[in-house]
Amino acid sequence: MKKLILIIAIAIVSVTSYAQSSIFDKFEDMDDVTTVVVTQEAFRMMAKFNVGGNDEGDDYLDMLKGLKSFKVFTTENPTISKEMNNVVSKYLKSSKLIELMRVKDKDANVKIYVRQGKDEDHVSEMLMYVGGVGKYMENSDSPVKAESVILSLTGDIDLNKISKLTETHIPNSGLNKKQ
Amino acid sequence: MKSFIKLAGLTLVVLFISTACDSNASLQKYYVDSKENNEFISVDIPSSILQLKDTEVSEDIKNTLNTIKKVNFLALQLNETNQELYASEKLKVAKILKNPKYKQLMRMNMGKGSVSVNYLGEEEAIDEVIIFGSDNEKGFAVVRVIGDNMNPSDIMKLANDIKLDGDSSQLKQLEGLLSGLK
Repeated sequence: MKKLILIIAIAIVSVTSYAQSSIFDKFEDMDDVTTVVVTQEAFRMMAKFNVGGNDEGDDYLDMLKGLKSFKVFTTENPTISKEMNNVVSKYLKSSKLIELMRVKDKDANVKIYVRQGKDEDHVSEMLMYVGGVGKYMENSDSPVKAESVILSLTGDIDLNKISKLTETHIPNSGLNKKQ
Repeated sequence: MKSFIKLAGLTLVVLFISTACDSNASLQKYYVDSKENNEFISVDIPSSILQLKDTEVSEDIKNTLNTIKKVNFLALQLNETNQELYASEKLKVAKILKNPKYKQLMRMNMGKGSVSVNYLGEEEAIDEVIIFGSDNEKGFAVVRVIGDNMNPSDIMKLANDIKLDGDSSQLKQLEGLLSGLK
């Protein structure tokens, strides 16, 4: 009897569509949040069909093949920013993410966290959080609106390849793995 | 016990049938139905419009062009009277696109507006690429690039080389529409 219920439950779950959901998904529906989502299908396609022949070639392809999902949530709204901050902090406390690097300057606070993947060189998740809103509240004639950004990348991410690619685009980004 | 098994079996069958029926709600059907509705703007662009001015065109490019059969453009422009229509039709399209046969590539949501790119078919042989964009102040539009075994990277390469046949009347009609939408 119990077995039957279990089988039916599993059958129902597999019939309903399965989507990569994350704790940050609730931000997508908020009006003042800009969301960008790229799915695994897109990465697989990009990897299969290498668009344009750039020098990065093979590394780029290999990296793309392993990506599962890419999500970015941006907001300029101070209330939502605070909520983003709370959600990120809660998430960090409960998950096995470790800080990879952080950058702090007068505009913003950037923190990058990763979750260890299959080996030392791979991470299964990378979370970047930029908390910048609030710094400009007093100075209202500042044209630059500070933003809060949550960027989440999941999949089989090779840190070495990422650092190689970011070095090409952003020299001295310092993302090279600590040896 | 026996009756429970019967009930469970029946439930599963019903579930199965309902998902199978749902997959018939296709964007193609929606497009054809909406063309009848005067509130919608629809344009069909055959691939003959994508003619390259140069005759020195490689075989590869010719073959790629052959995979694109046509482009459908369907739009609902928002005005004072059709607010409800906009909301209900937008929901209809979103629901159709939720069907697993439409695989999502990416989406972008900016509060007031959103864009999503989906495709129909297999990774190596795409039958249809669907771009669905909406803006709560302007309306929504669905663009379908329909073809046969389209290969995305070839199409990208082509997009770089392409020179549209500027004299085509259909292109002019499309331009007129787009400038009207802005």
